[in-house]
Amino acid sequence: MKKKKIKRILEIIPGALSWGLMLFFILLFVFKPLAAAVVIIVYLIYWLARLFYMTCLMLLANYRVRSFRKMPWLERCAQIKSDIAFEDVLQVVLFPTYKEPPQVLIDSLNALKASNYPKERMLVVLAGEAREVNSFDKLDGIRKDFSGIFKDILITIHPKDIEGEIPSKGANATYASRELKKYLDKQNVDLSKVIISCFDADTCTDKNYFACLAYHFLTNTKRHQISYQPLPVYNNNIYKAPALARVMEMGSMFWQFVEMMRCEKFITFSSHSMSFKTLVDVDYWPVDLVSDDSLIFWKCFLKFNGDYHTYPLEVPVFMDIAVGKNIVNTFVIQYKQKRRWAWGVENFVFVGLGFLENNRIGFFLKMRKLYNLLDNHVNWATWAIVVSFITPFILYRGTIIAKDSLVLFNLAYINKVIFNSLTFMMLICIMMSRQFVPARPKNVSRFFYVRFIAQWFILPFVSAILGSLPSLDAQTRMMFGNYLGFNVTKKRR
Amino acid sequence: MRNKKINFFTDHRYHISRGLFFWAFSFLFVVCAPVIVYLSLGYKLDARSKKFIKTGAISVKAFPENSQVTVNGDKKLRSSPCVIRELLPGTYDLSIEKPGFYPYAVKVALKPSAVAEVDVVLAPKIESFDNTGLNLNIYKFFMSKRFFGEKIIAFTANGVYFLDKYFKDPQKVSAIDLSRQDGCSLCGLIETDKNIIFWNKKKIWAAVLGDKGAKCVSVYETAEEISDVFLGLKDRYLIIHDGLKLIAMDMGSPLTFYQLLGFKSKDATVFYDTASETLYVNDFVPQLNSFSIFKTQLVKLMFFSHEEKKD
Repeated sequence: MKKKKIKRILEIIPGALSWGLMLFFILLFVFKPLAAAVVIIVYLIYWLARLFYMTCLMLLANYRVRSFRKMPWLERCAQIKSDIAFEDVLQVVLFPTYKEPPQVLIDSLNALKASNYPKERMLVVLAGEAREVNSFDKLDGIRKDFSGIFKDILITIHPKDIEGEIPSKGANATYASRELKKYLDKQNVDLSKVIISCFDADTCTDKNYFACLAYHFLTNTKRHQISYQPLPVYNNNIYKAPALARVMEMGSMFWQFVEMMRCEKFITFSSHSMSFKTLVDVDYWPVDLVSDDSLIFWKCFLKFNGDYHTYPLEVPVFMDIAVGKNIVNTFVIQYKQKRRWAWGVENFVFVGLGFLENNRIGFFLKMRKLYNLLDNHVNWATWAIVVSFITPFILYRGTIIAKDSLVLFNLAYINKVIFNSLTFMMLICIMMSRQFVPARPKNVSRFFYVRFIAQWFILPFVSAILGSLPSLDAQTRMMFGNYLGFNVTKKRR
Repeated sequence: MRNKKINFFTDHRYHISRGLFFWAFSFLFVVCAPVIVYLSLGYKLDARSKKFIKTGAISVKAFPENSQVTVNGDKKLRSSPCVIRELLPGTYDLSIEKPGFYPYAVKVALKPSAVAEVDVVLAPKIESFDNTGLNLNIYKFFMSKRFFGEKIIAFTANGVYFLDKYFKDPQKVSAIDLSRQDGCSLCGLIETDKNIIFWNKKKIWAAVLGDKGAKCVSVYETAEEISDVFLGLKDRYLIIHDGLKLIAMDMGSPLTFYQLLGFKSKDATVFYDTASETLYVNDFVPQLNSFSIFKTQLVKLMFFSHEEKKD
């Protein structure tokens, strides 16, 4: 009972803080307009400093990826002197799938096939859902197409309506991993030498990905206390996706760039890899929560009493941009996808409860982690709304109620500086994003590149709506106990 | 590099760089935020008294842009639009100048932590008229935004002219037959697609645009005093507030008039909302012994007036 109450309180905190912050600005403006203007000025300066800091991190991360991406990782693996021989490492690639068109999986497997990692040491698991009609037939067809290429291709079908589970990627991946464990046990494979990569169905790896992953697995002495996170580059269908979706996904990629540089805060997201032994030890991914990709990190963090980290890999993976049938549908899909990502706020509840039961993690580390989670989610839910809606509202109303106020006059000026700084950041993004655009197909006009640059100018408008609202929506739902189910982002190419 | 282990966790280059950026921007925030807030509030450190004093600012917008702005006769080069900050509270002599335009001078009273806004349009000098080579003996002119941007409609002894906003490029659009006294007393102008209608206190004239030979004609004359003229019912009627009556003239057949209302007081006022075509009348009510506001649909008044005329 007590735990339930604490859980409810933890669920309310992020939403209450986000709404509280925004209401604070508005109420302060209603009762003390000039004080509100001063607070907004401090808030904007804080964000300006933070944006410049993040731009520097982004450039550093970009430099790191560019320096190491093309490195001969496989050669390096062969040269490593480690307690595990490179030849003994088995790479398992798990693709939980639900209603994705076969071509999406075929493309992903083709990317595995093109990898320079020895295929006889790669095991593929295609994890279907019993909820999908003919799932086995679809996956079996794919298995036949790729038979003999990898060590083996396993197919698992996750039964529906298992008690205690919600229909989610985590539940499917967990079921497949349990089946995988049985398979590996039968073959007497040492689980501590197995790396599992849990990929979205549309994840196409760079040819160096598995070599890079193996290298870090072998060279890190605490290899079982590390998750390995590649940079997700959303470009598989970049030539077919509308500008709105391209901008949003590129924005997500740049955010990952920033996160990569802050390794004490960095956690797993979307497609990621880890030691299979650790996965078994922590009892796999959560089956009753939506954000399985990040929660697995926290499960491990609690298991290892805070001595667990995420390693930002130098080699990226390539994924699909979420698109719909038309621009409105794309907008809805993007919104729902971002809301699902923002539902990662459930990590705060999970971690909070976990910390209460774990006395081996230091108090300050606990507080720091909780603060980081809150900071991320509250800022995500509020900053675009404060900058795009509340500040202009205060400026507009301010000119009516206190026309001759110098502080309001200066607020307008500082607001302009913020938007100019955003433009500066945007120019850096434009320059950086160019390297992640794949070669132009022959049927795509050269004019695409002009549109590719022009697309960035819709960012301020899009980020105001798709930046904060999905996050605020997710936090509000959690605050009122209106829990979100797992929304599958349809893959369309 | 070749034999060196690659490990981001132990690669100090990145962590040191990140740390430097973090502390640099944190320091900038900690230092800049209070300074910017102080400056935003108008505080300034007075070197002599070594105290913070409250100042204000003057924001100057002027048309045309890049006009020279001078405060209290100082020689500092400032051009509009501009914000002159850190001014102590008091009264300032502000002048705005631009060659070819009349200078503008104003006294600006400035309060602490306040901004005084000055927004002016400089009038072009008349010399530019002489440059046209035309002897435009102007009686009266009006600004118009209806015909392809800003224009000036000038009533002269030779006819009605359209001029650009710098009083150049004159184009005669209609002949005119106004006495100097009538022309100089013009007090309003309405433009439609084909006509311009203009009036003084006693008369209303209409001129057909584009017919350079056609002279303007007097369409209404009164012994009372014309208070207001406006278009109603989608520009079909010209509504005239003449002394104690409100009259409508059919634009389709000029000189056809309908009496819409009679007022009790000469001080009655009329406001017409074009969007809802509603007429608001503020008139004296003897029963109440005070003024009161009434509203009615103009279309209803027109209907009753038409019916009366038929009868």
